[in-house]
Amino acid sequence: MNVLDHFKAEWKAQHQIPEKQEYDRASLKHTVKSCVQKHRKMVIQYFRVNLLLQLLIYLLLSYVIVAHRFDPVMVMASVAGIVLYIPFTVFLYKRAQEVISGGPNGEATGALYGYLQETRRALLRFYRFKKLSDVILVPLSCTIGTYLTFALFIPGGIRGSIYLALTVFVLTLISCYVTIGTENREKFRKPLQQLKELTDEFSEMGSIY
Amino acid sequence: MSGNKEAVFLKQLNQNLGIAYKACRVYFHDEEVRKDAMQEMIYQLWRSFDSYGGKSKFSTWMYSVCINTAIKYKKTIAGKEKVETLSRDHLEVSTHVPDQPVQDREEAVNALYKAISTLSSLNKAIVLLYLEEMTYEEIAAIVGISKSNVSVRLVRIKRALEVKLKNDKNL
Repeated sequence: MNVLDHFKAEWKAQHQIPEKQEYDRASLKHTVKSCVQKHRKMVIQYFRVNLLLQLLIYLLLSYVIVAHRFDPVMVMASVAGIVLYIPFTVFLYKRAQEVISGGPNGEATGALYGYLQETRRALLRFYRFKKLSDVILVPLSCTIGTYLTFALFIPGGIRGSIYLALTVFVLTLISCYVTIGTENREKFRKPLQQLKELTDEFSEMGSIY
Repeated sequence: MSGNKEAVFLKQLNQNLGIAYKACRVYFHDEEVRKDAMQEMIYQLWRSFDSYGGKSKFSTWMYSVCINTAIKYKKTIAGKEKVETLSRDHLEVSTHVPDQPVQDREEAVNALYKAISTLSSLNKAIVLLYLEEMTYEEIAAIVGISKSNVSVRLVRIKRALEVKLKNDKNL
């Protein structure tokens, strides 16, 4: 008997002892509930910078609607801003949910290789969409934010302090992209690289069926 | 949750719960992380149960879900798991004699887990299924590689594990 066969026999003997813990209806319900909550939290963490930025825009636009309710131009512009943002927020949330749950059907079934490939594809799809939303929404959010802040709170508005407004806009944009860059590296580029390494390991020896 | 589906699931789950424990032990060394991973596995099993359909043995399907979940969870918690410190207990492997006491068996299995922990995620899956006495066809189906690939990989894994276990034994 070689060393591994001996250990295999020990493994078999050791694991013949039944596990003490058993699941019942209540513990299953508790487990499912706590995992669903954890997944929701992870979805929000996935795009927390974008979400925070969008929430600020929603708050600012809502404030403008209430504070300038008698000014139809301001109200219309703010409503248009909200209408533009809502589909992005919903779509971003749905895509993040898909990534967390491991693909469109969200099931951890099937052969490991296929599962890892699908997980990588889902993450890549989401990352591509997120990059698109970063390019479109972030400058738009910074523009709206700067414009409204100056229009509402600085005497003379943007025209009165054009260089200051430009400085604020550029600084906001830089800080957003620095944060988003870090977020993208940690949440997307690194995991995508890890998944690539995992799937590459499957093919390094040649045939996969 | 529908009552009948839940009852069938719970019965099968409790009969095969050891699979999830073993998968957790192979992939995670931190006790707290292992508990969380276990919860995640139960959750994934429950939400995927509709697609099971009884085409294969429940245990085979469960291995597949547990391994997939473990590898994904490992990636999710990357860097969060505490680094395991090597204690003398971990490294000491019993010199096996017939009818050895349970404690020695535990030590041997601990040493085996320790050696497995040095393998890649894919190789961990393969060796876990091998230790569970699955056929090459079953391993190939769960992992998603060819039968010949399983065979070649197992030769390499066995060699690597034997070196590791022998070295640990000589310490």
